[in-house]
Amino acid sequence: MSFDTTAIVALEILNSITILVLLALGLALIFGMMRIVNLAQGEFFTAGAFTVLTAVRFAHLPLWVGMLLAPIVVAGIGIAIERLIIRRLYGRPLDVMLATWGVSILLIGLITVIFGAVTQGIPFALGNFQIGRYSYPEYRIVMTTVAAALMLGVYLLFRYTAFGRRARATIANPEMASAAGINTPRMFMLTFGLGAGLAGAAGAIMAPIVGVVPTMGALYIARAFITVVVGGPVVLVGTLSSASALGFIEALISRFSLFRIETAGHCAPPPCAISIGGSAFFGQIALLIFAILLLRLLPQGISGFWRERR
Amino acid sequence: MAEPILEVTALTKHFGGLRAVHLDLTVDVGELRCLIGPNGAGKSTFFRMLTGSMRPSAGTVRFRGRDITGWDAFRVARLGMSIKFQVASVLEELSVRDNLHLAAEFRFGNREGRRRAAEMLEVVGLTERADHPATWLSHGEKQWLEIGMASVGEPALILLDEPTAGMTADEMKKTVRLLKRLNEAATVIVVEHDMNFIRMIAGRVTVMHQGEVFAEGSMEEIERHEGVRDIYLGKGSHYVVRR
Amino acid sequence: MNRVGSTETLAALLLLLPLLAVPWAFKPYTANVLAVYMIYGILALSLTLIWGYAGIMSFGQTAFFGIGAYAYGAIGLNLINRTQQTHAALLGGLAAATLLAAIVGYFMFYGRISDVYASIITLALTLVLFAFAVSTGGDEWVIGVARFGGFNGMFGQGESSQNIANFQIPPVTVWLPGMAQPFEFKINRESAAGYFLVLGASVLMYLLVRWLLRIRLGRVAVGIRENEARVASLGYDTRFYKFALFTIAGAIAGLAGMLFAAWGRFVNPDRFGLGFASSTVVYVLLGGRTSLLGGFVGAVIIGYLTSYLAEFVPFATIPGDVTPWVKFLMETSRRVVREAPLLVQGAVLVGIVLALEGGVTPPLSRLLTRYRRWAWWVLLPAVVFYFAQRVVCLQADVCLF
Repeated sequence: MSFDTTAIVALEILNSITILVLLALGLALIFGMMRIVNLAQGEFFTAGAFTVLTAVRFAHLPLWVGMLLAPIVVAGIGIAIERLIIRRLYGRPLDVMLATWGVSILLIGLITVIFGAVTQGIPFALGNFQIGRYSYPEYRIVMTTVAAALMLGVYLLFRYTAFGRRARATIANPEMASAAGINTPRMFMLTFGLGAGLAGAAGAIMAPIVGVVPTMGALYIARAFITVVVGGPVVLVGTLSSASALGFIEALISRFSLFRIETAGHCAPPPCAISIGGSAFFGQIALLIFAILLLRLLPQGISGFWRERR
Repeated sequence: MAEPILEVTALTKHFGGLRAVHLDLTVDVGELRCLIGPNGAGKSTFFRMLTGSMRPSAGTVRFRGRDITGWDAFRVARLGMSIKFQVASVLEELSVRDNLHLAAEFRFGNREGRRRAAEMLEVVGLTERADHPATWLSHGEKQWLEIGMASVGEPALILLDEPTAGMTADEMKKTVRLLKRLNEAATVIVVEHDMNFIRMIAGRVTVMHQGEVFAEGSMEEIERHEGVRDIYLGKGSHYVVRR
Repeated sequence: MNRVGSTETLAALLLLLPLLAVPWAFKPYTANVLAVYMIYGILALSLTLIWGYAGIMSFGQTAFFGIGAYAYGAIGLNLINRTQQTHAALLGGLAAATLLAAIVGYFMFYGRISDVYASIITLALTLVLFAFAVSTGGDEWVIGVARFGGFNGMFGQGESSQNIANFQIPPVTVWLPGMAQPFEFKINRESAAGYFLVLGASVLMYLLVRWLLRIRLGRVAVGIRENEARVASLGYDTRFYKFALFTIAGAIAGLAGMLFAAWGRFVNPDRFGLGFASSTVVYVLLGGRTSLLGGFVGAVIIGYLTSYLAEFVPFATIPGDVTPWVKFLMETSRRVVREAPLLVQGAVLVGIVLALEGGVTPPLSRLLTRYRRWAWWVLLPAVVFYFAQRVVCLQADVCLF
């Protein structure tokens, strides 16, 4: 492979990993840490993207302002959901799943009512840069930087702040934390809100390069869950390692076609052929299969396995 | 001397950095063995490793001459070991009769299983409650139902984890009779806290402390053992076992 | 017959008798619509089996439904012109759904994946199939003469690439030895055979599931739902029982899918969509997770009401000369009604989880049991009478009111 192809493939792998990190980070808090199967997580992304859309299209604010607003707005939505619904369902994981699914449907319906069902785009000012024969969007590099910054932020928050310490204590052992004077319901609410806000930020960051449509969340939720489950219980290490492994496979299969099957259709020029591999769809299938295999080998996820070994 | 029914060698369980269980134990056929020890001594963990609910970190378990270490729960059950769990685990929505029937059916099939379930209903004294959903049973009655479920398949070894938890004195006497009757056909290991109960059963006693076997002997020997009294009274830090 | 049994029989009769009379009591259009909701009822039944009775929440039932539909379509389209019957298509559709369910089930349950992760995997399966089906719009996606068609749905391609030569998925067509002509199960003014096919299949599936729950397989599965560790420690290999029930539920869903493709002569990626999967869950929840009839009733009633609502569109045309605010309100209310199914579903889901644990079946069932005598002696005859007089009125023009 020539240099520019290698470079492009490397960038695509990096991008794949970045997207998975963005998708998984919020859910790693909510599902990985708090063990809440939140099926409305996809709609948190959507809400973040629509916040940016509203800010840019209707309020005519600069793009970066919209991006800052998105996590705040979505965190607010998350907190509302936690207070009204999830709070009553702690200890009933199946019911949480169903209720959040109901919330997800409701949110999609509401967003469609407000914004309509058409796909909309968000204009932004960055262009492409050249690597040999290929051009690559500068924005995707920005995405990677932001994803790294978010991860760093979460790390610093949980490691070095009082809030972070209290949140970790609450989730590890709510009764003890409560006995030690920590306001545990408030901690749950804030942690859930944080997870929602991170998802909103992810949706906002990805909004400029994907079509903003009310049903966009559905595309992301499966990958988000898979990445978190494969990652295991340790939030940052798990997410990063899982996103890296899965993103690597997804990017490779998306780019390289494995083989072609000829079919009898009306094509010009004939013959018709279906390519296995070489498209985003197959990348996702490969991701799914690889994830299932990994889980079979490491039922506790990557970080769970790593933790036991120590 | 016949081969012991259960031989546990260096069976170990680590939880993260903590070594929760590490012991050797031998039980002979036909025994009625009591396993006692303060809370956290590792008794339930030990049982779960025996029945396949939990995978041991190291060591071996030999049951009826076969190495069953790490076997799945259903395979251990098929070999003839059954368990009554610490927390009452009956099938709540099913009737008492159906619970016993399901337990008996595996070994004896549908028709014979039904007959044996009816018999066991009498043995555990739940004939009047036969068609009630298990969830309506009192705590003591659930224990008896579960004991019945654990015994109806004619296992060779029955493990009972705290069968008298929450029982009244009368219920406890009834349980003693039940256990002695079960012991006629099977080896029984009982985990218990209640000293009266153990005295009534009067078998061989193994004392566990911090995951290891602390002492073993007849009830009289154990009662006279000072160290045992201490670990129950919380002075057990004197007896930190060497790792 | 114990109390609960007779209530269920009563409910079944109350459902079955009217359904039997429909083709003669109403216009063919009604029979047509009811048929598809009965098909959804069979799908709901499969979910009730795997979820209410085995305790495994599967988002994947609609995946097997879709596979059954597409497989039937692909095989049927290819063979119908040559063999004039759809026997192979029916077998093939069922086999495809069952095989997929078996493979996924094996992977999940023998792989010791916990129930929560199993649900997520079934969700992923549905999403993957949806993405796949949507991406098959291009010319190259064909199996023989059956073209996938992406969102436009599957159809058969004629010899030339002209649209005129295209043809639809065939209805269920049987041609047994001894029959002079092949027989098509359709629903129209001349024939209600298609309707009765679906009704018959529904009754058959219902009885099948009831039987399953009485034999050991079903009873062990229910035990597993209650306490898997307990059942395993009795000697049962719980992996097998979960696998078996999952495969059977997948097969039932596949059957429903085939009937759907044959009914509508059409199948498209929406069958793999999240919206469809969620409606099924709502039907089952509303009807009560452990009620076999409940899921069925939920599908028929809610589905019918939803389709009725969809006909009602306020402000179809917005006049151009109103103020922007009014325009916005009209546009929004139009959107609200259009999205009403979604909004209602979401609200129902959340509401039931928070409030009505067992769905509507426990209260309804209690009502029916309490007023048993009234129901048998008054309600049932009244229903029979109403439908009988409708039939007589429509067919023989002798009407009472």
